[in-house]
Amino acid sequence: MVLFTIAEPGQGRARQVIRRKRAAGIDLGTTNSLVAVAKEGKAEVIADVHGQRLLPSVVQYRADGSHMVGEAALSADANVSIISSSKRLLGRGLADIRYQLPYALQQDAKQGMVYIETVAGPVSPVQVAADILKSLVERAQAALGGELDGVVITVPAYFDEAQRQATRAAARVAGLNVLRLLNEPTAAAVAYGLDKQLQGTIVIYDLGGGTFDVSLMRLHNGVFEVLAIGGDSALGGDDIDRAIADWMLQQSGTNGISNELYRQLLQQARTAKHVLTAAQSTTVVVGNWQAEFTRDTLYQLMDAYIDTTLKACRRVLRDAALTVADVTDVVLVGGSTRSPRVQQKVQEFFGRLPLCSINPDEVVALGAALQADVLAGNKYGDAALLLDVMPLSLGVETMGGLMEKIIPRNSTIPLSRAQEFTTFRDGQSVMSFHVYQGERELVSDCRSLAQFELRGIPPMVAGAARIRVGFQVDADGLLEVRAEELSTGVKSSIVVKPSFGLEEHDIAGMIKASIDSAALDKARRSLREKQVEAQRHLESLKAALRQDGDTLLSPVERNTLEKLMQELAEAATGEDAARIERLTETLNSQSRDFAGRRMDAGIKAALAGQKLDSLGESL
Amino acid sequence: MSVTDFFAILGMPVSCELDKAMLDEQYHKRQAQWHPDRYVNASEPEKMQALQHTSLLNDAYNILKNPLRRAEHLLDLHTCGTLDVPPPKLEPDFLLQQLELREELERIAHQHDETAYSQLRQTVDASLARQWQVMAAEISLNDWCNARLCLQKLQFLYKLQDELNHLEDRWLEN
Repeated sequence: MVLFTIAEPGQGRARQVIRRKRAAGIDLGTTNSLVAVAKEGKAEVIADVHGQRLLPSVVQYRADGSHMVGEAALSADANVSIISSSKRLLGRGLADIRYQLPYALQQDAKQGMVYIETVAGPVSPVQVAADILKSLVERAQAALGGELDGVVITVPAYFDEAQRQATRAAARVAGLNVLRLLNEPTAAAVAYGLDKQLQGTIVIYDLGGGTFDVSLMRLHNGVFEVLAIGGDSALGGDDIDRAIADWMLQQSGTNGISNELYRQLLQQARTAKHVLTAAQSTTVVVGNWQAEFTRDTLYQLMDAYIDTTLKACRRVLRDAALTVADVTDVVLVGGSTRSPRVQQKVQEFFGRLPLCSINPDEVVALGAALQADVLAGNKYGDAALLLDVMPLSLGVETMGGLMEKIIPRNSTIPLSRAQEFTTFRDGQSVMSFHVYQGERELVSDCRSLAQFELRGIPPMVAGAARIRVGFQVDADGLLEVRAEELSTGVKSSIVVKPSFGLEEHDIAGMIKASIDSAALDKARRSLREKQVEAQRHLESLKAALRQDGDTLLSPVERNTLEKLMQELAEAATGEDAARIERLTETLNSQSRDFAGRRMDAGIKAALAGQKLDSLGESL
Repeated sequence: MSVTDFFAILGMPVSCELDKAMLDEQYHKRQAQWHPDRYVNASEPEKMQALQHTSLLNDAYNILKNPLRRAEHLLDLHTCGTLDVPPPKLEPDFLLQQLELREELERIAHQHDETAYSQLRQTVDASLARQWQVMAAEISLNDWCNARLCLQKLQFLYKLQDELNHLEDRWLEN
C-alpha cells in the first residue's frame, strides 16, 4: 500500500515509499485473550491502558444493548448478563454441551446453533468472540498507530471445521482481515523456534482454560513441520474448576443453586486452584458450610483429566510412528500448565524436564504475531515455513450410514484429494453428498459439516455414472468440496463451504447489529462524560457560593444561578445528553461574571497578604 | 492412462529404496518455494497455482515416504497402471497362513493376551521384512508380474499390522 509519494524536483517519476503493514497476532482463549505485534522480528504482547496484558474472555451484556469486555465485565449488578468461557460454544450445538454453565442456552431450531440467553436477548457465541476481538484490536491499533491490515488468530489445533468457520465468522463480524487461522501449538513452536532457536522433534503440550492440544513437530532449519496432532477441544482448566465446584456442592450437601451462585462458586474454585499451586491447603466456603480444601484432594480431582491428556500424547506419538525416546524437547503452553501436578505428570510421561521459558500464557500470541508479520508481507525469503496438518479425518457418507474417509487425519495442508462414486439406481439423476469430519466408522458418531446435491446426472444404469468428489483444503485448513459427473463429459460441479449452522444473513445481521451497538456504546459513553462534567461544575459552583455567594453576588444574581443549577442537577440524572450539554453551557456563561469577581477578590486578598508579609519582612 | 510421476515431482530417483533424509530435504526445498505463505502478495492465479502445486507436493511426499504406497506407485509407473496379463493369484498356502494369523489376532483380542500380542507382532514384522526382500529382488529383475504378487502379500501384512495397532489403541483407551 502506498502511504505517500515523493517527487523530486524536475523529475517526472515518483518514488514510492512503502508503508510497513500493520499486523497482529491474536490468541482468542477460553479464559483469557491476548494480542501481540512483531517489530523487527521481535514479538511483544500489547497491554491495555492499565498495563494489563491478559484480557479476560468475558463479555457483559446489558439490557440497553450495550456491552463491556474484560475485567470491567466481571463486576456484576442486577441488570446484566456475564458471559465467560463462551469459546467452548463456538460452532457447537446444544447436544455438544454436556456440562453446567453459569448461563442458560437455547438452540435455534432450524440451524442447530447455540445461543446464550442474556438480558439483552439471545447472543450468539460468535458475537461474544467478535466483541472480545474488537477489544483486542483496539489495543493493537493504539500500539501500531492505525487500522490493522490483517491479523492471525490462533485456534486450538483440535478445532474442527465448524469451530474454525465460527472463528472466521467472529472475525468478520469484528471487521477484521484474517491472514490465517493458526493452530495454537504451532504458534507456540514458532515462538520457541524463532526466539529460542529450538530444533529437533518437539512435543507441544497445550492445556488451556477450555481446550487441550498436543502437537508433535519437527523443527529443522526454519521449517516447522507438524507431524501429528491430537487433543480434546472440550478439556481444560475450566473442567478442573467445575470438578472443584461440584466437589464443594457435594461435600456441603447443597443442591439446586442459581446460575449466579454457580458462577461465584466457579470463581472461588479457580482461586483455590491457583492458591494451591504454592500452598498445601486453603479454605472453601458454600453458604454456612466451610472446609479445608487440600492439595491432595485437588490432585485427585485433576488426575483423571491429566491422564486423558497423556493418552492423547501416546496416540500422537503412535500416529507419527515415533516413541517417547525420539522426543528432543517438551514445551508447555497454556495457563493450566502452571499447575505443579500437570508439570510433574508430563515430566514422568516423557522422562524429561519440560520447557516453559516463554510465559505459557503469552507464547501463543507471540508466535501468532511473528507469523502475522510474515503473512502481511513484511518479511520475505528467510521467513520460517510452517507445514501444518488437518486435525481430523474428512469424508462422505456412503450406503448404510458409513463414513468413507477421503482425507485421513494428520495430512499436511494444503491438500487436494478426489474419490469416485457411482449411482445406486437406474436412471438416478440426483446424488446427494453429506460431508463429515471425525474418526469413527459411523457418520452418526462424526460431525456433519455440509450437505449438497449434484443434479442433472444423465440417465444411466446403476453403477455407470462416474462422480468425482474432490476435497481441497487450503493453508488455513478450510475446506471446499466439489462433485462432478465425468463419464458423459457433462460436467456439473458445486462448491460448498461447510456451515456451522450460521447463515450468511445471520452474519450480516450481526455485523449490522455490532455497528449499531458501537454507536450506542459511543452515545452511552458520551452521555456519561456529560453527566460527570455537569456534576463537577455543580460541585465547584456550590462550594464557591458557600464561600463568596453572599459578599460577591446580589440576591437576584444568586437566585438566577441557583435556579439554573437546580435545572442542571435534574437534567444530569436523566438521559438527555443534549439538554445536559446546553444547560452546562448556560450555567458556564451565567457564572462567568461571578468567577471573574471571585478572581479579583482573590488577587486583592493575595496582594493584601503580600503587603502584610513584606511588612513583616521589613520589620 | 497416464500416471503422475511423484518421484520426478520431488526430484528423487525412481527406486524402491529411498534415502529419507534426501526426500525430506527435497520436499522442504520445494515447499519453501511454493508454499501459499510465500504468495500472500501475489495475484489470484499465482495463489491458485501455489495452492495446487503444494497440494501435489504433499501428495507426492505422503506416497513416497510410505514404503507400501511407494512400491505401489513404482509398479504403476512401470506398468502405466495396467498390465497385459491378469494379476497372478495368491498361493493357497499364503492365504491359509493369513487366515490363521487373523484367527490368532481375534483370540488375542478376545482374551486380552498381551504376551501373545507381542509374539504376533514380531511374526508380522518378520514376514514384512522378508516380503520386502523378495519385492526388491523382483523389481531389480524387472519382473513386474511377480512384483505385483509381492505387493498383494505386503498389503495383506500391512492390513494385519494396522489391526494390531488398532487393538493396542483400544487397550490404551480402556
